[in-house]
Amino acid sequence: MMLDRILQAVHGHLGVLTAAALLHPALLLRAGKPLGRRNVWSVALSTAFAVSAWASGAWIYAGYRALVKRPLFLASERAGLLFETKEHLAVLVVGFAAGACVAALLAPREAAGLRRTAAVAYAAAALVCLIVSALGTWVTAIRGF
Amino acid sequence: MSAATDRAAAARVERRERIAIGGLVLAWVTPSTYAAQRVLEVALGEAGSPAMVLRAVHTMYYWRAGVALWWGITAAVLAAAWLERRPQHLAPAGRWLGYLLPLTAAIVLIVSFALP
Repeated sequence: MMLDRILQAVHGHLGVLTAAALLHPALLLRAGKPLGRRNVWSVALSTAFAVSAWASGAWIYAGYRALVKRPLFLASERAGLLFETKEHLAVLVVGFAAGACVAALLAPREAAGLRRTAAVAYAAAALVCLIVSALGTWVTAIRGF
Repeated sequence: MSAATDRAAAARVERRERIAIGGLVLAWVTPSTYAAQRVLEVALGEAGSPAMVLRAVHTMYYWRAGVALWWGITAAVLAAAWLERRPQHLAPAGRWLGYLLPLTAAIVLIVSFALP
């Protein structure tokens, strides 16, 4: 239980940081210019942040289902259902971030349009990640580990 | 020798562009497939009520995410292979994906809130 509580806090912090981290590549790529070496690292690490936030959530989900899900639904049906919504949206964040990362890192120098499209994907992922973080914070305030 | 080098460099650039478009196809198809699976589950009469949500096993989520990722990767590889013989479609494909991705995000948002 204590470990679950720690992991829940880590997952929550990672989620909020991911929302901020995904905004950075969106800003870097919006002009369509080729990425420098430091910016390549920035794009890759932002995506790694998103993947690790999702993975940490998937890890603690078994404990959530066993210990939290029923009391959460008893406390607030709306919060329980919004938790499910949060899960669905997390797949969108990871999918967009992973695909945009491939596009941003592999687009040739001449393909400015692809980098701009990757920026759109990162911006959408950041916005949805913010919604996911807000939902997660609200649900945890009602019932956590 | 120089012409051959130029051709090889051009082929390398084109390959990178195809793979980059494949990445954007992955971004488009993965959440779309996930949302489609969710719609299908609800259409088949599953997990519509809170009681059913409580009974639903979590492996369903892993399966949905896994299947969505598998289709995303498959679609990315197929798109890159398709574009290999149609280099004239590289630019339009990139442009269309720029329109499709925000639309996909909006649809997945609606589905996620409407069918939790």
